Amino acid sequence: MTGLTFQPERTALEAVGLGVRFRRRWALRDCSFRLPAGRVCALVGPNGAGKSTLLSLAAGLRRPTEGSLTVFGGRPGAADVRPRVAYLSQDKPLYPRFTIADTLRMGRELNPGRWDQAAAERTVADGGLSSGARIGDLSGGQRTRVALALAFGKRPEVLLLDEPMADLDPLARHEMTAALMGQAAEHATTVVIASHVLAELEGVCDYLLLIADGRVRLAGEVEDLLAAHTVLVGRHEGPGLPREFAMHTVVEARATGRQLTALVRPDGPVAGQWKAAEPSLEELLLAHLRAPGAPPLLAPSAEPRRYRAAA
Amino acid sequence: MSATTVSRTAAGSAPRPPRTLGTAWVVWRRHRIAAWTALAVLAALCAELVWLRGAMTEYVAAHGLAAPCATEGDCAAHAAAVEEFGLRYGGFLGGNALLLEFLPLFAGMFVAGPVIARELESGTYKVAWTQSVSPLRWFAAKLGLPVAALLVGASVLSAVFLWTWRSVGHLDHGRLVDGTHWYEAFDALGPAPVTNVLFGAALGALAGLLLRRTLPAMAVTAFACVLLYWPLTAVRPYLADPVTTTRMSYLETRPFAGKDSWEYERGAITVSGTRLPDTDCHLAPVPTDCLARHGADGYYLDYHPPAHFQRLELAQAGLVAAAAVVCAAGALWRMRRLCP
Amino acid sequence: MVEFRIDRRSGVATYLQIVQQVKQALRLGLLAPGDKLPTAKEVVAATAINPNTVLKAYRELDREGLVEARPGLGTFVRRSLARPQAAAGSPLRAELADWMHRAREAGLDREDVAALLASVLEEGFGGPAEAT
Repeated sequence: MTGLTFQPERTALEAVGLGVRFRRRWALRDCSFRLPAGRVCALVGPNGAGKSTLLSLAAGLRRPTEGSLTVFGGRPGAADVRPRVAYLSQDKPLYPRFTIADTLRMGRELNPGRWDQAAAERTVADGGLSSGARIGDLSGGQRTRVALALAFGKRPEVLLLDEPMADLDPLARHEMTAALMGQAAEHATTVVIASHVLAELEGVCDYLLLIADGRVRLAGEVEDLLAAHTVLVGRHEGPGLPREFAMHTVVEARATGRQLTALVRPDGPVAGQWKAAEPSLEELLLAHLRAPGAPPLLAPSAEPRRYRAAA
Repeated sequence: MSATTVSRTAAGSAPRPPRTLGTAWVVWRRHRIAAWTALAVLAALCAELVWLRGAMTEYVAAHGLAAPCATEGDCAAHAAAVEEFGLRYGGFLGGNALLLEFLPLFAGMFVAGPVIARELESGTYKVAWTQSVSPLRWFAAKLGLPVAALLVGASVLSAVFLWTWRSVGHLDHGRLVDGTHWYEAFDALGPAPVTNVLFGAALGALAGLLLRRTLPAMAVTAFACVLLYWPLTAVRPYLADPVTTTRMSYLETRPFAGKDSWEYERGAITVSGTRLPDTDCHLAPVPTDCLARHGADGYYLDYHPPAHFQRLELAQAGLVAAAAVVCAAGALWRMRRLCP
Repeated sequence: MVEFRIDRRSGVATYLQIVQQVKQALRLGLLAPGDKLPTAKEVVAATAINPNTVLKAYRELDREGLVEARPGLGTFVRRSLARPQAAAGSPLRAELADWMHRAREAGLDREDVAALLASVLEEGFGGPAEAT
């Protein structure tokens, strides 16, 4: 219980040159990243960025057009990988005529030798749901709880959640997040939560994967990513960027009158009279989303191992 | 804390080791209302057919309809009794035959819609596919169990219907079953309903997998079943070699075939043996002139005597089963493409 | 046992909030040597934060020698931060209370006293107080 839940040397998810094409449009293109096991990873990006596509690939519901995605080193959907992965899709489809008890029984029947009925029942009971209730009569939030119970009962090693909290009220959101974190704490489950609502994820996730336009923009430990960036505020007049910024990577710079605010990845100390501060997660993400031209940043732990070995 | 958790789970789950039926349970739970309904309908139909057989044989015995009338005097009463028989039981026989003929359509619609397309449309397949069983195994159970149940049900219903129909079917050269002669109720008798249901189910599976939406899949399946019925009936008489008879006079051809024979093609024939099926010379004011105009000198008739029933039955069963296999192969190909 | 209150808007890193709250509990005597800290699972069940954050805070406390991890049992308090010299009824506290009484009689209000204390604190210990 006292060791950290994550195991930096074990790889949960790894993508190398991953691409998915829908007819003419690329939903994901040239994605390479690595997610160490035991992390709680936020998968963020604007709507249509490719988050759902990435999760359904990892869940084994779709095949990549090019490149590869592996889960614990295996192909998603392979016989030895499928039992270790639980997936909650955005629309949380469940059989509306089944009762909650039926739905959990389905989990038991379809996960022989793995199913944890007690854990699933606890998750349902914590929400005050009776096992005889029909799925079709439940509210969106209650259905999410049942879907989550189905996922917990599987005792997954990787839990993939696509917009899990979208239809939950604040109390249910807190409860479900607590249940999720409890699961992660108890079983060292790797969790990937896709969301475009950042407030849902702050304090919950320790790993970040930012996708925009089907490409990876940021990947790594939240702390490392924050530490790699600095917000600089200072006085600057005239066109272009100050000369002292030349040696650093400027993600975004905005001028208001004489004041210049810039988010940079400093490469060494910044010369000149600049007030420096560490950005908040929100500032970091917004700056990267507003500046699609900024080069992507992968923390060392997020670099694919196979990729590195090949290079 | 961990100690209390352990003791609680041990106390809670030890008494009943859970038995698992796997995907089969999910399929059963998913379609149990349809299954119970179908079973109730099947039981009711079987009961009705048993009653019908009893009533018909009793009527036949009471009115001596098993053989043609012996004397002139009997024949009026005999004819009246045959007519009364037709009024009483003809509707039941015809209705049951129609139901069996439509069975493949219902089966196909059920497989296309509720079994396959609804899962794909509502996204519930995503839940099943992300559990521990593979999508192909899920599909196997999802299709295998309902199709097996449909085949068993069709076999039982077809056997009971055949048993009931046989009790009167060939009596007095099939006179009692006017409208449901063996060649008229062909798709309700013997193995035909079973192979037809197999084809309907395979077609439904293919439509469901291709269209992935409930209502279109069901509609297309129903439409295709009706559409494909035409070529089937058109090709049916050619599935076995017919008996051909040629006579100088049109009327003379008939008695040779026998009353219970399936006469499916007749026409004029030339001296050299060329067939002219569409002359309609027997309707002409002077048939011989008409024949002469066409260079013909007689008529021919192609027919299947009742003895050909089994031959035709097996040939059609083979043909339909082959079509079912083609549809099933298409469905399997599509399934493999859908499965990641 | 202690219960943690996590303020996500405070700008203070979550793990630091836990470290500070444990230290505060140690100072106030809410936690004494031998007491068990809540497990990461219990903390996340109540606060819905990342378990790694809790474990990181406990490691930090372990590094400072305040708590120790006993494998399989949990995390236990090793030493207290409570000072008998500062406890209720101690001479130092009585003198300060006496001084506070006089300051009030002299007409200083709450803010004046706080400013005065802060300035003397700075003289005595140097620099502005750190967040911890």
